[in-house]
Amino acid sequence: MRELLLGYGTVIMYYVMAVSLIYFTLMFLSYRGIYSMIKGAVYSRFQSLSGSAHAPPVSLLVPAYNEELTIIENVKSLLTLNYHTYEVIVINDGSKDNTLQVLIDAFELKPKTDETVHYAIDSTKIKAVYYNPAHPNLYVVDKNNGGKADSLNAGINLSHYPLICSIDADSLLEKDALIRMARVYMENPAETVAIGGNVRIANGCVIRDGDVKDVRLPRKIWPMFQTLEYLKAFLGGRIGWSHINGLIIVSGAFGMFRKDYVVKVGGYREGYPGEDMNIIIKLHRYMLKNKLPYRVAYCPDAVCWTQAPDTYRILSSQRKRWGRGNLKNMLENRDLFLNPKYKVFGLLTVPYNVLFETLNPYFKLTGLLALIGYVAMDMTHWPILLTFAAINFLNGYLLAVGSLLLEELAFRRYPRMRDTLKMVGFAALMFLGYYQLGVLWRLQGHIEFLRKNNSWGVMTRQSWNQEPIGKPSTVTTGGEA
Amino acid sequence: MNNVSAVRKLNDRMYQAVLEKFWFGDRKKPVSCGILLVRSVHAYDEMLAAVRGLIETERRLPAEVLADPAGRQAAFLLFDSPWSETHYLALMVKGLLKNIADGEYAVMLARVKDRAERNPQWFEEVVELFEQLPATEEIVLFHERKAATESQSVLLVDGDEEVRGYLQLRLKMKGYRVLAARDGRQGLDLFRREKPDVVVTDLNLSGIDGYHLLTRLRGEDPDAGSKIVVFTDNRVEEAKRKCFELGVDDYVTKPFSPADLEARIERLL
Repeated sequence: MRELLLGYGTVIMYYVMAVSLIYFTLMFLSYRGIYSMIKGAVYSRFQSLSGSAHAPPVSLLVPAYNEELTIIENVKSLLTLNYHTYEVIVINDGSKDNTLQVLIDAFELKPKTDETVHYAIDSTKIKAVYYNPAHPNLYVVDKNNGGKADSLNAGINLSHYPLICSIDADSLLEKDALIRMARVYMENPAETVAIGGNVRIANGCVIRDGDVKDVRLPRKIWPMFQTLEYLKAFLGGRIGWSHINGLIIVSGAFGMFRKDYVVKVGGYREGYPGEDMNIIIKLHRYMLKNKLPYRVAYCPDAVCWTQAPDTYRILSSQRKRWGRGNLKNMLENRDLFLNPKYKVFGLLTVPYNVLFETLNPYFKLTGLLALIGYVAMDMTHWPILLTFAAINFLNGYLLAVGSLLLEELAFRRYPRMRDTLKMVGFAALMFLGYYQLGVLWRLQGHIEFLRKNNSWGVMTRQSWNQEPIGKPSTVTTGGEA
Repeated sequence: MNNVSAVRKLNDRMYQAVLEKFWFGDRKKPVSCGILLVRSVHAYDEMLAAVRGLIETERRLPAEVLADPAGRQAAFLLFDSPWSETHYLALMVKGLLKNIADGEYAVMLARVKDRAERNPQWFEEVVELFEQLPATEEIVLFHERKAATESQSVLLVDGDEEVRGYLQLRLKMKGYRVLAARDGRQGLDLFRREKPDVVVTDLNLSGIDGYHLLTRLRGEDPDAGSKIVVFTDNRVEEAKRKCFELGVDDYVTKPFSPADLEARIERLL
């Protein structure tokens, strides 16, 4: 028993060292990426790019399921982006509320009869396309319920432009978000297959006319933790991954894709959460298999503001869903694991995700058990335990503060000094419970997966106006951040 | 400084004099008359005599003076005087006043416009402006504000504060009445209220998207009384086509030449 515990302790130590090393490397790459990004932004004028015919037209796909409270506001905001040619395709996924009717009334839409939909990808049949020439950039698609992925596929079938961009119906895009993404795309149009955007949490911010006017921290504790979590994941992680072309996910809330390749890989996978990670894995697989040069880019200055769940119930349900989606994707793509044919993606990204994301709860859990074992068998002393705890904490805290610093260096979205200090403080608080809950939720997600539960769980919607109105409704949006 | 009746008196008297000249002269020919307005706070009478003397010796004609002692000002009417002569006299008068009037004086030069006999308001405008003129050493030339452009208004809808401010200033200097709006909604409100002659709008706006704003503007104004100029970053052919389809009169892209934009606005009016 003692040998077993001792051996386990050694393994776990290497595990922790490996994960820390990876995190710090990613952080380092993020800093390098940010540095060149800031330099690039100084020299490129995206403002004049926004009117240039060289930037390709974009189709925005907005799947909507029971979104009657917020949809009008969001569509209005999406129609006023700073981009020369784009269309907004809202896909009503057989909503049970009045989503479709509200849209028809607000924009005075009429059924468009001369629209022929080319079913390049399998999707539920489109019942009708609504249009109003007075809003030439807006299309509303009505179809039977088929889930988020199916809605996106239907949207792709209708879309008229070579780039597609998926956006959650509960998210707001910044006015310049598209053009900033297009700038990244134009750096290498031949090879870029997907670009991820930066998702930020809008809870607490002042929003007027579909525009984030004043950036503040959320007042509630759950969104507050998520704000820090997102900052860390997006700035500290994804910039780094994109630097070595190993990005495994582009957020479902805001990502841009080349339509031709999305069609080639068969569109989004239906019937299971985690479709945003799935499409990226499929793209990597396709491009590497066919030995095509490609990159999956990330654009941290293209910002999408989303509403984070602000209650325990909804947050846990979202995280369990992510846990399920992640596990499913990893199991489906286990042949990529350490497969040298798939280069960085197979050798680094997938193993990282399996070992440090998917299996993370088991290491944490067994670690806890082992700890109890050490104490019970008197194999350790308090000073040693405390030292380990302190190192662990400092490690994590350094990473968290590192991503905050990145934010302050490059973006400065939170103008108040008080907010910055608050974030530094809360970054420490997260070690007392929030991270542990994350482990628990992921574990619960895996249990749900084994029980073959593949529903979306609960998700409530609030109006973008300050006071939450109306009754909560279930919805099929979200995705792994 | 002056009470209102005195003001009215001076311009009325000027108008009367021009009217008489018109009726007693050759009615087919327009009245030609230079007007020299002089004000001197100190040594008013002295000044009056000196200027009269100067004009009479130069023109070898009796000068027609309309004095307004209460306002310490006077108008000299120089009938049938060529513009060059009027101007020369004004310069001489200025030199004279420099010696007599001890700093506080003003000279204004005007030329009655065609058909002045039907337009007493013109005289009122001249005198009013002269009244408001501070003491100055320079001769002020009266230019009539063009009555035509005065009522012409331009509605500027642009989200960029700098562009808006700059154009507002330039167009104002051109004599337009400029209305500025930050976003589509404000623009639409102003359009409804003011019915401007020209709308200069960006396509990239917050609140309402550009194309929709264009349809709304056309909907509000079906007989196209207001001209619309789209003024935008968007250089894509498709966007231009769409805009012209929506009934836009002109399309100017940024980065822009202000002279070009102004010329296009002017041509539409």
